[in-house]
Amino acid sequence: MKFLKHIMIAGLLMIGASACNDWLDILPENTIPEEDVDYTKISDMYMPVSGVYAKLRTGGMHWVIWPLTIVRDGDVWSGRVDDQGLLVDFGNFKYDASFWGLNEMWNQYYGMVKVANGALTSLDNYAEHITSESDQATYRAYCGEVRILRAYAYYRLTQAFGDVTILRTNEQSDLTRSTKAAVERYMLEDLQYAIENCPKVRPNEAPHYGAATAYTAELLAAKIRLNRGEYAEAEALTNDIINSNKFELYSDFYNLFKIPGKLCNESLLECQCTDFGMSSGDMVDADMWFVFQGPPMANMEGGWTFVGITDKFINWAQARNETIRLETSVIVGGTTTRDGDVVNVQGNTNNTNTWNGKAYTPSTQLTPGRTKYGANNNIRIFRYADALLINAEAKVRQGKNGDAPFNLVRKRAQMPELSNVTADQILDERRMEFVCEWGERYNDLCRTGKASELPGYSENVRYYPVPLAQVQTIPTLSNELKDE
Amino acid sequence: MEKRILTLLLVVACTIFGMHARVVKGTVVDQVNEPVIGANVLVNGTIMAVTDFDGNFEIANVPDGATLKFTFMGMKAVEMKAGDFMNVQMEDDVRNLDEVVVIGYGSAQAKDLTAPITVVKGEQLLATPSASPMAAMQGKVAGVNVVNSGTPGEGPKVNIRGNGSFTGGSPLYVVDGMFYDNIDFLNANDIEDMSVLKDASAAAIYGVRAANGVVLITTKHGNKNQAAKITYNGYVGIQKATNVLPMANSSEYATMLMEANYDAYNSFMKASIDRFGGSYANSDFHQWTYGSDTDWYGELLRTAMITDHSLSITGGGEKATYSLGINYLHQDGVMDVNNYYNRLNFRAALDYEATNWLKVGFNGVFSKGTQRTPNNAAWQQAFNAPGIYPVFDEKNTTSLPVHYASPESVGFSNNFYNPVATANYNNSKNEVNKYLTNFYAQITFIPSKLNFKTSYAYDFTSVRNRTYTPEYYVSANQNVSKSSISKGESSYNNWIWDNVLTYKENFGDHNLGVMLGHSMREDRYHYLYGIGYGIVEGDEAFQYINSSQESDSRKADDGGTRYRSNSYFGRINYDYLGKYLLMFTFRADGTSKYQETWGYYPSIGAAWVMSKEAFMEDQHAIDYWKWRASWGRLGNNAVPASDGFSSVSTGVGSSGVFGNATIAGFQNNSHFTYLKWEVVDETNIGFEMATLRNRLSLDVDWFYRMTKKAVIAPRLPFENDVLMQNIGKILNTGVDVSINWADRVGDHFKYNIGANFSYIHNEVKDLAGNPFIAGGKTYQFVGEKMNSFYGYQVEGIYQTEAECAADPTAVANGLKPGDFKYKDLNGDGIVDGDDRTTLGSYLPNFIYGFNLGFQWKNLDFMLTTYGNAGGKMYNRKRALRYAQYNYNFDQDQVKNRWTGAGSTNKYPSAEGWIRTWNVSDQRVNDFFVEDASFFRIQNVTLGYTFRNIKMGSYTLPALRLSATADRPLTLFSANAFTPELNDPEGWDTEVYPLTATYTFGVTIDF
Repeated sequence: MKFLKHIMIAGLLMIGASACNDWLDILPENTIPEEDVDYTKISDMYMPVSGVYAKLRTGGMHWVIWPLTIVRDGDVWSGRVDDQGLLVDFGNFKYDASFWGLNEMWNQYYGMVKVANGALTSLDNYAEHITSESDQATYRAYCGEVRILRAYAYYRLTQAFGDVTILRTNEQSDLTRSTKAAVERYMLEDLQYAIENCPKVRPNEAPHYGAATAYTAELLAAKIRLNRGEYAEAEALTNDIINSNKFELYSDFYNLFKIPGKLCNESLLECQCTDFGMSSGDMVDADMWFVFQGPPMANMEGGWTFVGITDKFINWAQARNETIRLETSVIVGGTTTRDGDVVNVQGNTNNTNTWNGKAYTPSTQLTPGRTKYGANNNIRIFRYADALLINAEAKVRQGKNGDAPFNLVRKRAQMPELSNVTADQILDERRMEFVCEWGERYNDLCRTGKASELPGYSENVRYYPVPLAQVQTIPTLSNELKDE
Repeated sequence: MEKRILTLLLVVACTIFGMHARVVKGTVVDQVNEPVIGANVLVNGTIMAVTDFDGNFEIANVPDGATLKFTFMGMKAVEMKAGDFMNVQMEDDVRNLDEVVVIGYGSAQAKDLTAPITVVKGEQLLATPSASPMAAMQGKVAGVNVVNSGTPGEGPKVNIRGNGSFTGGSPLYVVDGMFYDNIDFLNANDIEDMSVLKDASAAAIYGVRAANGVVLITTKHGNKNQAAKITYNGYVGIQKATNVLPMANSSEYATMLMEANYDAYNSFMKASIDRFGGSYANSDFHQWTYGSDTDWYGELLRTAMITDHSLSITGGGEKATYSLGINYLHQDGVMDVNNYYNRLNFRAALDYEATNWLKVGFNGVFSKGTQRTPNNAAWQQAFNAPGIYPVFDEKNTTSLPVHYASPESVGFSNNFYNPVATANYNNSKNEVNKYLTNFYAQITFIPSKLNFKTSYAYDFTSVRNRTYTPEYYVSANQNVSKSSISKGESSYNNWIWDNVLTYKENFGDHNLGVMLGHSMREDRYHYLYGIGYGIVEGDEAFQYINSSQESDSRKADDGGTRYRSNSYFGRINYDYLGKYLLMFTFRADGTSKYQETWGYYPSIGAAWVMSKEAFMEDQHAIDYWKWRASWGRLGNNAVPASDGFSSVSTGVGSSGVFGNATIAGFQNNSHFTYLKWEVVDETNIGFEMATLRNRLSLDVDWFYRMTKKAVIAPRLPFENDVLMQNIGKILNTGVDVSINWADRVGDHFKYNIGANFSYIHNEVKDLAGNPFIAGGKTYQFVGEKMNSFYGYQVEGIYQTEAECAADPTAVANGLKPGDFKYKDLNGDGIVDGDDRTTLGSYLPNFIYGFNLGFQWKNLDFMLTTYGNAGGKMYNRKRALRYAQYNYNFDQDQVKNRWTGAGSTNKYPSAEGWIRTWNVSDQRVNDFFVEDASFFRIQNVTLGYTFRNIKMGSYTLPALRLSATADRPLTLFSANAFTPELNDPEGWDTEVYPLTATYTFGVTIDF
């Protein structure tokens, strides 16, 4: 019967179709499974470390973190009353825990911690396949680098929020916060490991150009020690940096923050960016970090005109007869820079007319064809001048003489040398040297009890509140603090 | 399909049993003896002919004693024994119970359905001059919410019976067996009919794809024994912007800002007057005058053309039927630059009975569209730009190549642009080529009982984009120093292979139907993108990436997805005397998209035709009454695929910079998604009835749809990332009602009135213990509508200093009279983040449409309306002022501002508009939440038909002229360009004007 044949054909078709059990078993396109990373390939071992530097650039330099870090010291303010008005309020110690930027800051730094935690796990996976002692040493050095960057993220978190959670693993479900002191101990452990295992070289000598080294770890540890009033330890750590004789202050303060000063011998940590020396195509940069604080420029692309330097600071610096440091640190609307760039005055006179000169890259230094404000420049994070001034202060606070390191900084700034410097003189020097750098001034005021001079300041607004968005969704954040 | 098979069986039967056959001719007329044009003539359930312009038909080989059935939309079917010449008279009927309805993998007669399925004929869509057929569906079907878009070539968003997924998702469109997410490539002229499967029992046969509803589209096919029918259908018209939001003029703008803060803002106004004229001599700045008063919307808008031409040929003989069509559409955009959409569609369908047991067929739609896209950023910039600088400024010699005015000329820096320059320095084009093909073969094993059909549908879509950016300079913030060309190629290769076995049997009064099927599917998507800089301006012919003068800057990127599925499905339907109906369906869907491969989707439906019961027989009040009830389970795989494993991120974003190079890096993503499809369970109970001599029909359906395992992404602790999980539960429940009345007055006046409306209650039922889940724009709270706005409730405006001084919140925040006073909801005496609450959601509660039509002799008229109510929208356009205080204002803000104690208790003062307390992303409040309800006259069409026009020896059967006003009037209260938002969460950032279209159309039957 003819029909039977048709039935058989149809049946076969259907069986044929259903027989493919493998039909549905395909991998998702364009996603690399974690287990497919070849951990036996030791030559790739730097990849997870490089990933942490990327997170420092993409997360740690989010533009909103920057004003939150620097607006509370009376010398620097948001600069704009007509945009991100809460930044003005924050500068006046009127916090709003629901501010998105606060949550961004929290998340970005913890994002860095998570990437670092993940990188350490990956490094351990590589370590299982290591056979030679030299590779073992490299592995430890890489772990040290990751730990420096992790400690850096915690350092910023404690500076901003005080008591924060230690995230020992990325899977941790109990997010109870630890006391600031406990977090500092945790950071110091990481840094000690790095000091012991990372190369003792300048970042610009590092195997990976500009990477964090043992000296970076020493400086960060010294900063923490100084905050804790542990002056002997701070002195020892900075002595080690100074006595290495590897570092020197960059003689041209004006260019220190510009293209010529990128990763000079003064640098201990920078967030590196590049345009690859090309006039077009991709840049790998810190997104809006420079643009955010770019003034309105007449002859070149400016920025969002945030970050103002207060008259109070400028008057104070002028009274000190500061020259090169003032010129470098402050750009004034209606003037022309020494590189010939014309700074416009803003129409809205309630906004700032003075901007952060340390974020200024002259048009003459841009790679031809590039127009973005700050293109190809690095963000300076830690520098040798800090080590010198910490050294001086630690000595003075222990009753020793701190003149030598102190005057190196003075001399470079073309300021007359002083003798028998006092702690207050050092604090003033720090105020001048580090204006608009990472909230150094605010930290100095808080750790020395001078913050009470700031209008609106009190001990209970020293730190920002934990972002409301976190508190509302994570009950353990409201637990009693733990000291571990 | 079934019909054709039966024809074939008939032929077989004739041969086997040696019955006599003869030629049957006849004429079909309506109750006033006017010919019925296009009535179907069925022999044993298969369309064998269609009446012509005189109502005539002719069929060869009709077996002796056969019964002929005549059907026509809007008329009651007539069955008659075959005669040599048949005079058939049909009567009006508002219910089309004999209409053949396409259902999943088959078809059924309307009277046999147990589920609410609404059929829309292609002709019903023709009145709307739109590039997308779904745009014409607005207001036509109860429970279907259509949100249109203003950009040429962009289709509408469609929701069927509410929104049951946090991830959105459109209905499944099945075009001749092929699955689509939208049907924007089709022309209404290509469409025979659309079946909207609203409830779960009808849709469940489509399993994991069905949760957002299913729309089945059949493209046009020919009919047997039909002489070639040649039709031209075309229109030409204009589109005009309507409801353009009135913006502040220069003087109003200046008044607001200088009232807000004279010192901060007077310099901009003076700069404008100095450069572009006017006067600030008067000491009262309210009296200043401005030489530049640019109406940016006026500058950007134009009246745009739309035209559409279709030609189709349809016919068939004894063995083969065919349908061919060609269509061309051109639509200009209303932005006054070169932007348009055009589309050329070809369509062909051929069905052929190769032997008495084999039937084969092919159909294809070839669509070639070109979309020259406007730079819609210009609308946004026009919304923000004040009038105090002009379009052109000959003094601005730095601007090149055209001397556009720069916002810098009045002192503005970033965030201000010249919108006309933005619109013009834009050259972007998409070319979309789409090929939809379907081949099938159908084998009959037992005539009229058992057959098998295998069909293969294949869709290839290619989208080519090219964007050229020229070098230009307007201002420091609006310039391109290096020209570039970017090109993208996306391709979609999708196919479906369906095998379906159908069996029918009658046991006396019991009728049984069984369908079994298997389907395999693969969807592949791939894109390749490249960009090069330094491209010479001029002709497209030499603008290639490899002509880039900086070869090192060239960049490429690619990506893609591939999903497969494998499905088994079946349906059993049973009825007793056509009175008690039962239907079961089942589908097992396997998909590669999720770790859990297989999902199972059953459904059950029952109906009872009460009017066939003996106790109803003696009454005449009710002509027809059917109850129906159903339950079904559906899946939604529109949720993203899961990673399934921890993965690593690589690339530049995960690589550190070391000197002038990056070192390849990676970052571990320690968390990963383990997702599965969402599950929707729906119960539907309803009835349909006809009364008053079949003139009034009423359909009522109550539905209860619960989405389980809804995918939602709670924020991960300490991260901006979210992790999607199947943890939500969403309820949509409501009622769909449609009511239609059709009648005649005298012999020549026919009219119909109809209404449809839906009420939907939407509620988030569960979030797995999360108190709420915050999204970027809206929040989810258990017990509230999904996508609720969340913020402060405005109690009023602080009127006096004394009032501020007495309020601790005002003191703590330094508030002034003219600022918002927020409600202290938790009563702790101070307003802070804990005083926020839900403020409504964009989802409407009511969707409704009314329509009215009449026909008087050769004149026809149709009016449709559409509206919805109950939704809220967030006026983000206003709220965005937080980012730039001196953006322009809309006029409502200016006219109603607080100007002193007692002036208003609703609007803030001019100064209030530049204070963070009132305007900020941190201060979402219900002042910005506006009513999204609207009512629209959707379409008004007036037509006149000339019949039998003698042109020498040739008689033109019909020529219809028509005039249409599409969307001529939209009423709403929101301070918006349109309440139809692109954003499903209801953030109104919409700055495109709506358009009304007025067309003149011609339809010619040759």
